[in-house]
Amino acid sequence: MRGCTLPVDLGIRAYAIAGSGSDRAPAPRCEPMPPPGTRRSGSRLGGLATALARRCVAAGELGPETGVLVGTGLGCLTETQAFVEHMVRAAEATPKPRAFAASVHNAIASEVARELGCRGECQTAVQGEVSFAHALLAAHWIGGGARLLVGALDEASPYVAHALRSCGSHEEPGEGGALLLLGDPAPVRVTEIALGRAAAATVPNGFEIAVPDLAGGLAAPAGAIPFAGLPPHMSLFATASALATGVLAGEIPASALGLDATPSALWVSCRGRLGDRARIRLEVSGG
Amino acid sequence: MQEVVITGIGIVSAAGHGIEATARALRDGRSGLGPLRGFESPRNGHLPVAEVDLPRDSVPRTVALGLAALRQALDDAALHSDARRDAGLVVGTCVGGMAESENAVAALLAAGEGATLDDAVWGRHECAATTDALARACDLEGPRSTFSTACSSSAQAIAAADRWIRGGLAPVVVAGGTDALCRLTLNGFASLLNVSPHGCTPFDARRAGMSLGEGAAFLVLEHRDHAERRGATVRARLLGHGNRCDAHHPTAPHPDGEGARAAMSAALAMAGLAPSDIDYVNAHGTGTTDNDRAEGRALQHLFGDAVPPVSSTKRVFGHTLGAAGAIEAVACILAMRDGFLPGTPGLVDPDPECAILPLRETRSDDARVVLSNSFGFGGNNSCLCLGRADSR
Repeated sequence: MRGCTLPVDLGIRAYAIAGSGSDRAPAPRCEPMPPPGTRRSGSRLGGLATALARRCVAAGELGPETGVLVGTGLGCLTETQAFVEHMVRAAEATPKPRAFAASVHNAIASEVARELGCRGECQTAVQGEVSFAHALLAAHWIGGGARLLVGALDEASPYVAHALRSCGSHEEPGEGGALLLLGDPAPVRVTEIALGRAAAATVPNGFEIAVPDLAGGLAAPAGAIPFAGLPPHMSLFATASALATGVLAGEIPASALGLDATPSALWVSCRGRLGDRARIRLEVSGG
Repeated sequence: MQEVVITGIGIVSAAGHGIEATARALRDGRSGLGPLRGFESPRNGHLPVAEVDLPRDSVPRTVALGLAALRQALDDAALHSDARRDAGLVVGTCVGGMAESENAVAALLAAGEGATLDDAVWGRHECAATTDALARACDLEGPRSTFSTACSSSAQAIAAADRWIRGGLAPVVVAGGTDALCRLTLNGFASLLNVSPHGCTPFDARRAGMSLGEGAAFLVLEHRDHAERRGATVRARLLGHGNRCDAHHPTAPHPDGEGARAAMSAALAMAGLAPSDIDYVNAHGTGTTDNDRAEGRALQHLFGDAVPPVSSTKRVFGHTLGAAGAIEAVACILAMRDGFLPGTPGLVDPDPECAILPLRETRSDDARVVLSNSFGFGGNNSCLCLGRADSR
C-alpha cells in the first residue's frame, strides 16, 4: 500500500476515555468500563460509547443533524460471544434475539445516535487497529464544521486471549477506547491524516505517540514516545489521540508522556496487525 | 464539481455469476431462493435461502465470494497492474470471517478446558481481514477501508469511495460488498421472527419476512476525466448518495421511514436533482412487515402523488446483508443499460399499508436516473443515486 497524506481541519471540542489509559486522563474525562453481562439491553460497548458521548457533550450542544462515526476492530464481542456460544450449545434451537441485535458492529454507533437523538450520518469503520483514523477521515469528508461524535472502542474477550495465545503471545488484551466531540470553536485541531504502510507513518519532526498493536509490535521511529505500559487493544489509537488532545489542551500534564513542557503539536501513529498504518497530527488551535 | 463515474462492475449471487447472468435473472424475475446446502443446520429445509453456486474450499467464504466479483469488476474496467497500484479498496461486510469462526467456536467448546483457537481463524475473523485478503489477491495497493453498518454496509462503501476520489485520496477506488451465509445471521434473523418460511414476498399484504442470501458485488469508480484519459468505458454515473440515522430503535425502522426519506433527500440534494427527476427506485424491500411499510411511507412522503416505479429485487438475490447495497446498485446499472425495470418477484397482492404500488413484473423503460435504497439495523439508512452512462 502506498502512503497518502491529507491536510484536514477538524476541531476537537471535548474528549472522553474509558479503559486502558483512562487513568492518565482527568476524572471528568474518564468513564469506567462496565463489567460484562451487566446490560439488559443494547451492547456493552454501545452503552459505554453513550456514556462517553454524554461526558463530551454540554447541554444543547447537539442538533438532530449530528453524525456519529465510530471505529471498532472486532465490534461487540460480549454479545457476539453470547449469541454464538448459546447457538452452539443449544444446537441452534433457541437463539437469543437480543444478543443478535446487539452483536452487529454498528450497534455501538447506532446506540449513541438513538440515545442522543443524532439523525445525521452514522458510520462504522472496521479497519482493525486503524479504524479510528477511518472514522476521522469520514468526519473530514462530512466537514462543514458539523457537530460530530467520533471515536473507537473495542473490548476484551476470552476469544481475543485465546487468539493471542495461539499467536504465541502471553499478553492479556486490554479494552476501552475514546470518543471525541468535533466542531468549532475548539482548543485542539486535527490537521493531518496519513494512511499507508511505511513511509506515511514516519514523523517529519516533533513528538509522536506510537501505539502498540495487539501482537505486541510498536511502530516507533526514533524520537517517538512509545505508548508504553498499557495492554494493547484494537482501539488504543483513539485512546492515545484523546490523551494527546488532553496534553495539548493543558488538561493532562506533559509529564504523562515523558515530556518536559506542553508541546504545540503531537503526532499519534498506529500500526495495525494487517499492515495498515495511520498517523494523525494534532495541534493547539491557533498555534 | 468533478463527476465520478463507474467503469467496471462485477457480481456474484444466487442469480448467477457475472453481469449477463444477473441481467437475465433480473429481466426474467427469476427467484434465487432454494434449500440451504452449504452447511448443516436444523433450519435446512425450513427456510429457503439464496445461496451462491460456488464450491467451498479453504478460502473464507466471504473472501471467495468477494474475489469472484472483484476480479470481474477489475477486468470489466480494464484496470491492469500499473493502475491497480494506486487504486483504493473499500469493502462493506457484516459477517467478515464469521462463517468459519462459528465452526472454530464449536470446536473450541467441544474440546473443553485448555483448548486454543486455531490462529488461522483469528487471522481471518475480523472484517478488515476480508478487505486485506481481497486487496492482496488483486494487487490493490492504494488506501483501503472496511465499513460494517449492517445491511447498508456496501452502499456506505460506495459512498466512501466517491468521497475518497473527490477528496484526492486515490484516483481509482474499487468499492462494494461481500457477505456469506452463516449460522449467526440465519439464526439471528430467525430469532427476530424476520425470516419467511415460504420465501420473501416484498410489499405483499401476506408477506412474512425476508429470505437471506449471500453474494458480492464491486464497482470501479474514478473521475470521468481519469476514465477518459485511460480509455475506460463508462458503465454508469454515481450522482449522489445520502446516509441518515433513524435514531429510533435497535432493529426496527422508524414507522414513517423518517431516516429513509432523509437519506433519499440527501442523495437527491447531492445530485442536484428533484424527486421528479427520478425514473425508478430499487427499494430495500426486504419483505418484513416493518421495513416495507416504513419504506413505502418514506417514498410517499418524498415523492407525494408522483412516486416513480418502485420494485424490490430481494427474491432474486435474497437479502445479502452487507453486500446488498452493491448488488442492487449493479442491478440498477444493468436495468438502465438494457432498458428495463425489474419487477418484484413474489409480490401478488400489494399491501395498502405500504402506501405504494410497486412493479410486479419486469417492464421496458428508458430509465436514466435511479435511486437504490439500503437500510440496516440501528436505523442506518443509505441511498445511492445512479445515472445511466449516457445521461449527461
